[in-house]
Amino acid sequence: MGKPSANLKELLQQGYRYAMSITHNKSRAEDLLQDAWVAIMRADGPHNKNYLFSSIRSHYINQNKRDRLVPIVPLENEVEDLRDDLFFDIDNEILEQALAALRPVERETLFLSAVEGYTAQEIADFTKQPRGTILSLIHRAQKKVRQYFKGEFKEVKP
Amino acid sequence: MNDKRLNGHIKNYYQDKELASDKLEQLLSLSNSTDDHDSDTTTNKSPENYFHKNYFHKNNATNKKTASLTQYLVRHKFSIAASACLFVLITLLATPVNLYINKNFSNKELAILVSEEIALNHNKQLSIEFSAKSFAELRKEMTKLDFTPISSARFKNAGLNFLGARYCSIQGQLAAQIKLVDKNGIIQTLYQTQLNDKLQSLPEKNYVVDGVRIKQWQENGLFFGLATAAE
Repeated sequence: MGKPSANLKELLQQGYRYAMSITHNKSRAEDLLQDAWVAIMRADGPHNKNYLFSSIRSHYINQNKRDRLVPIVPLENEVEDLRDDLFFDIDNEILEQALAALRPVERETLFLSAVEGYTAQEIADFTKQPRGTILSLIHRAQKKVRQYFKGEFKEVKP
Repeated sequence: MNDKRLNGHIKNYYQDKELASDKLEQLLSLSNSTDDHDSDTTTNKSPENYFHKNYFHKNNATNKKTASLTQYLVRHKFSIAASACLFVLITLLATPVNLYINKNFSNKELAILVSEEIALNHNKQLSIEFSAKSFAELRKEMTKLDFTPISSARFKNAGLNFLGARYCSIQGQLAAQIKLVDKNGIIQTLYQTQLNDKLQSLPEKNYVVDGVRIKQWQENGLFFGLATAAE
């Protein structure tokens, strides 16, 4: 009996990681991947990363109409940082929390850039956003994550 | 930390995320009939070669049955999901609320559940039911609450203004969601409910869920949750 191609397994794992980057939730990522994969099966392919990622993205947008993965132009004014009176425990989940704090579109963009190695133009073409917007998203997401890492070295209040 | 190092951390984080093997097999079973394909596939191992148009029409009895069941499940996924939701709802309604709340959750798990509830309520942005402009007015309007909504000593110099309130629930208990706005125009939602044994055991802590920053604490016999956008 033949075994499923290692390529297929890896394709599904890549799809799962991409779904995790958007949802930051294991169960939702699993459901999203399943919906996307079933849709691809019914359409009889193609079975490649670009199509799988597109399918995942489309399903997410359809299921979460409130959040269309559209970046919101940030306010020009400095917003009061409530974290002046908030504090985070220092533990191994600091990155988990940092990523949880990002918007889905920021996590997605950071994932496509840092993990998949896509250029800003490639991400722009995939998400149908301007290249400048993608660069801003990456920069903002990295900045937020760095802030959490910096917070790791602050004295923890009891 | 430079970009390269940061991206390295993020890459490692996501590459550690793996779909469970049982779920992977479930997905592969939707497409896999390699015992039928092997005899006529080429040595090209690309995913495209594992699927061809006659997959669901093969004469293999097992595959036909699996395909039929799969097709049935996919076609009827909404009614199956609705039935499952109805079953869960009936079970929950038939179960005393405290049993549900006390169902083997650690404090950390419960705190995260509560945070998820609060984040969901915050993000829903539902309309207010009461246009009270102060806690004094709120106490007169929200008559269904089994507690007295109060301000927190932490808000003394916070410059928060009332926008209104509505009923909501936290872990099955009736709660108040109070919509506030700070001096920068940022909306915050404050949640209050009666303390019970489980909520009382939760530590004062901060969480970030679904892009919402949530602070949980207890004050004057009530559970407090304060939510605002994380950015």
